Amino acid sequence: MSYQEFLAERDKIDYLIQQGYYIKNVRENLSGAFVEFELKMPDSSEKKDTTQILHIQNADARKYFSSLLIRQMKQAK
Amino acid sequence: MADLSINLAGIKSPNPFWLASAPPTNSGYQVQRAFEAGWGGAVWKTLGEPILNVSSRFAAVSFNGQRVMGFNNIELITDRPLEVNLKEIYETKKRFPDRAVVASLMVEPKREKWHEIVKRVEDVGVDGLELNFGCPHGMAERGMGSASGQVPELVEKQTYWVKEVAQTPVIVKLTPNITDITATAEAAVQGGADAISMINTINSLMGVDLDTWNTIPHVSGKGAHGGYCGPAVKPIALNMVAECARHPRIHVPISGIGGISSWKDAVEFMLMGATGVQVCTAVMHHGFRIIEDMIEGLNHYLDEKGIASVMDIVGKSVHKYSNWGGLDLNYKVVARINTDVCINCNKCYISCEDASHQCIDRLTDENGKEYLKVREEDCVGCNLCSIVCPVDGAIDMVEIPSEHPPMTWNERQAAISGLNSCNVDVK
Amino acid sequence: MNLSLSDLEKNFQEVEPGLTDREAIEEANRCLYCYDAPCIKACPTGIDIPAFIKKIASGNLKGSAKTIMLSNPVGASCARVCPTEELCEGACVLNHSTKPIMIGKLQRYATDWAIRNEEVLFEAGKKNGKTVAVVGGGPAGLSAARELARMGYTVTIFEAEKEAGGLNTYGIVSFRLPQKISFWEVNQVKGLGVQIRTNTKVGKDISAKELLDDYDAVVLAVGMGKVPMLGIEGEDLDGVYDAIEFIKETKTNPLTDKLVGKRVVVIGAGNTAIDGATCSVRLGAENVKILYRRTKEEMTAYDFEYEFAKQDGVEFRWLTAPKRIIGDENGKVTHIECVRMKLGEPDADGRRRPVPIEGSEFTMRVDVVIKAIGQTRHLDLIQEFGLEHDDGVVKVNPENYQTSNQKVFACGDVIFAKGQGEAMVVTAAQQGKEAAYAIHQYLTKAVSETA
Repeated sequence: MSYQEFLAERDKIDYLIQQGYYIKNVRENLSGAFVEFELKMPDSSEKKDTTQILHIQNADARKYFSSLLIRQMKQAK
Repeated sequence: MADLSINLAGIKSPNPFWLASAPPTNSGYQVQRAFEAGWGGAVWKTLGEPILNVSSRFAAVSFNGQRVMGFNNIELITDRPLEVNLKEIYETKKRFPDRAVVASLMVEPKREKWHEIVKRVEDVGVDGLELNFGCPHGMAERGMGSASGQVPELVEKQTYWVKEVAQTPVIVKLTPNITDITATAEAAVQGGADAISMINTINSLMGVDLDTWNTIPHVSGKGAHGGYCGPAVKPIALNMVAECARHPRIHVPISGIGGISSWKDAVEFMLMGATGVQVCTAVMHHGFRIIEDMIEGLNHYLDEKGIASVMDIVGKSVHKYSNWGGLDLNYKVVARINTDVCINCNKCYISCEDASHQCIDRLTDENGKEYLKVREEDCVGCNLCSIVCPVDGAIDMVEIPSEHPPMTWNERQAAISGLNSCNVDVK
Repeated sequence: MNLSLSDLEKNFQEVEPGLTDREAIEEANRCLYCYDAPCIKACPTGIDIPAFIKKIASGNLKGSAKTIMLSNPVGASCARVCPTEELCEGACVLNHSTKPIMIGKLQRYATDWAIRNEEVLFEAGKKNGKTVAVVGGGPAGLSAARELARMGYTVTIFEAEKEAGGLNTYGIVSFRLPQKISFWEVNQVKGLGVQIRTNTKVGKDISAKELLDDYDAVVLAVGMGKVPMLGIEGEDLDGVYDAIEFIKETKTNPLTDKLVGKRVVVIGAGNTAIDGATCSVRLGAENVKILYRRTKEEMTAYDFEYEFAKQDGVEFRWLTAPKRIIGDENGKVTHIECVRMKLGEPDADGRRRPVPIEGSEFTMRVDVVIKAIGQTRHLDLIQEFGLEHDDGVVKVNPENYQTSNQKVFACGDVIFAKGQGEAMVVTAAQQGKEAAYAIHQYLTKAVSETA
């Protein structure tokens, strides 16, 4: 079920955003999108990886992070 | 009653409906009958050196019992001497001074040949010229028609030659047998065309007889490709008109041709940028009398919309036609099946299951009655189910508000590449 | 029987459903759009049928309704009551290959659209200063008035009833022809500035002389009158009805349950008899029989009316004539005595004359007797106008409907001679049009002669 795939991938994206990550880089190839997330404030007390890479395969999830990316870039301006 | 009169690059007619250059405009007798019936203009069957025709010239496709969905011909241009046609043009124009009479022309790609025919034709008082760079069969083998029309340089050069002597507006008629019609359209504009018309017919072979293995139609057991037209080609023609209408360097009026059979078709072409339309196949099927409904239907449509002049609708939909990259990826529609209207043919189910995204479920209600339901979250909004559904109102495509603002492919790619280049810059 | 009044009302809703949009589109696209089509010739009003159907196919519904109503000012009613299988549909070329186009139903589809959208289809012509009185606001009168108004005449219709529309308003059962259809047609005519003076009976509320004096021309389109007397004993008993009055009652007053459970016989076998019979069934009668002194062959009702009656459970007793209606001490009908008939030599009108079989009398128990043996003529009015007539049938010049008084033109049932089968609404409409054109010719000629 593609909707389940979408939900699962969206949750992963949302989780990282909630954890203070932002989209740093996107690489797309035959396998889909590899979205690189980076912590906004890496010096927090918790031991988090400063970067995380999600492999996004679902088409709606790829639309989803794109919309988040555009929002993120608008907010940065 | 709205004002139906048009002005296409200076050619005026009392309504936007012209007969296309084709068998119905072969003679003064026919064109005058058409004008009596109410046609606003006629593009005379192409003038040039009189040709010889073969016998057995037309064929048509029937689609599921409806005749003449598509039509094909291997007839060439006029087979009568120029003087005969010119005399009839003169008489026709004299009898119907308010109608547009446009002469379609085709000669060898030589400057003096074009000069000669343009002068002679304009002498009898035509309202405009249409250069036939589109005829795909027969004439093309002799370097005329679509053979010239497929080469932008030849289009430009011949248009230029015509414009050197022409006193009346020059319309260049384009062939669809080309990868990108805007290339030849632009060449015509470069050559000085006052307007362009499209489409001429599309290369076609109508069929093969299963018993004789002859082509359809055949001439003594042999066939050659013909030119395809009629309702089946309308979407192709409409796209070509729209592509030219939205092209920034093609800024001349367009005369729309291709499968126009009713006032509704005409409205569509005009919304997509045509200043008027030309009709042939529908007349070949039903006669000139179809004009009554075309004029009346257009009139009622404009009255209902409160539009005073038909010229006011020209090009009104052009800005809505864009590149794929300009479409909103976040726009979403889903199918909704109205169980009370549905007749349970399961056509939507099988088309979705086998050919789309498997999002229709076959369910049974508490009374044991089967019904169909769309899993909207899995529906991609392809429209297939509603297209195959035989009952009006049984499937609605419903807009689902998006939680995100609109985002086109172009915007997305710009964002991603902006992000990546930013990072490159930083590091 | 436990029929409630609301059940009865349901029984009087239009029986035939209209075409759905899809049915109409499919059927319209099946039409061949013949040139010089036989269906046009078969239509008494000459509607350009292929054109109106093409307009349905093209989505030009207003144009379609206009094409229909232009030729036939009561085209919405005719879409429902015309014997189409004998006219347009009977002539359809597809009878020879597949099956004929449902022309009547398509005509109804287009006119229903116009009714629903409250379309005004025509405009009055520029006033020419001439006046015409139209006596009778039925199909023929409306048709004449519509055409005269379009040509610029100032037209006044004198209508004896409360509403115009004639038989379409009062004489055809609601479940075949709802009143609102007829009213829309009346309003189309009113919309052209035609004044309709209802509740105004010429000869009583206004004299024929006044019309002749005050108007440049007169159209006499009064139709026919009541059902004549059977001329048998017991005709004045309680429970004996005039079919026309009986049907009119169901179209003007709230339905009653007085027929629930009753036994009804209808005398006659024309369309009005069928209407009387099916009306009775729908009013809850337990048993309804049609008695006809001839056979099915001579019956004048249309085939589809006959089929419709059979489906409603109406029984037919051929070669049966009423001899006497019998009542009880309170003057109520209880029985009818009938006699069996056989067909003898052809009559003056060509139909074989029925002859009673002696000694074949029999009696049936009935509660209601409905008479539907034709209609009387408005003899008094015809005489008041001083017109020549044949037994109440006004004599006209068949070329132009002019009567013996050159100012008076007659059309519709008032000139319908006996023995021609059924008078059709569509014929009356055509005669109304033609009378209007004849008046125009007469009055413009008069002008050019005096000028």
